[in-house]
Amino acid sequence: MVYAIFMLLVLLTLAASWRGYALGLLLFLITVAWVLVHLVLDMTDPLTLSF
Amino acid sequence: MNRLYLAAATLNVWVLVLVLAAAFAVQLILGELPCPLCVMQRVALMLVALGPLHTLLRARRSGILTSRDAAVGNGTAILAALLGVIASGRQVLLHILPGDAGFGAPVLGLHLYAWCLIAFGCQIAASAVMLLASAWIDDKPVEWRATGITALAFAAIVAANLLSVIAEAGLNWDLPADPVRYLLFG
Repeated sequence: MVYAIFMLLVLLTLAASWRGYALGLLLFLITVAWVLVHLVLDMTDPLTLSF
Repeated sequence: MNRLYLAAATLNVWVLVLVLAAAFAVQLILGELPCPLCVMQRVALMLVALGPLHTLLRARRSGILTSRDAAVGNGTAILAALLGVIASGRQVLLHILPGDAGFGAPVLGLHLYAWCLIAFGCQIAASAVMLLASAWIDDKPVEWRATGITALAFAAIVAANLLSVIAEAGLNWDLPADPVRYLLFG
């Protein structure tokens, strides 16, 4: 479900950019930060086996 | 210069849409479900596309292409591409040992995550060139009609991936490390 939320955030960012809202950049940065945290947690969890 | 710049940004988005469509085709035709890191690379590709789309949509709305909008668009694309390098680089490293068959079937001799790593590197280089080129943008009115269809094509491929990942994950928060079926359908 977390990946669906990432993609939903991408669509929301696109919609905000389309409408000309400044919120688009904020949404983008939030998504990038969340994706980065998700990746780092995955890399630093020794019990997680990702392929 | 402005029209050439917008043409390059449009081409950038279409290349990313085609890469996402190709990955989706591999999933549907070959029946290879994407793993968590594969999905993260798709998300990174989508985030990269938001950069040039930002430039295109701002120019469409105001009728003027500004170097500020171009800078924001390329900066965001580079940030997202770095995320993609982390995700694809990690997956390459997971399978780098001799004898490891890798994840999924190779395409043209390389696995999809290796192609992704190359694509993200090329994207960083392309965005850097676009950033340099933005110094020659003149703030004059410009008309570019391809933006609407480009943004719609991008939205369609993101929506398709969104539905696909919901079907794959079911009601679970995360995906299994080695997915073999769509969990939403049992």
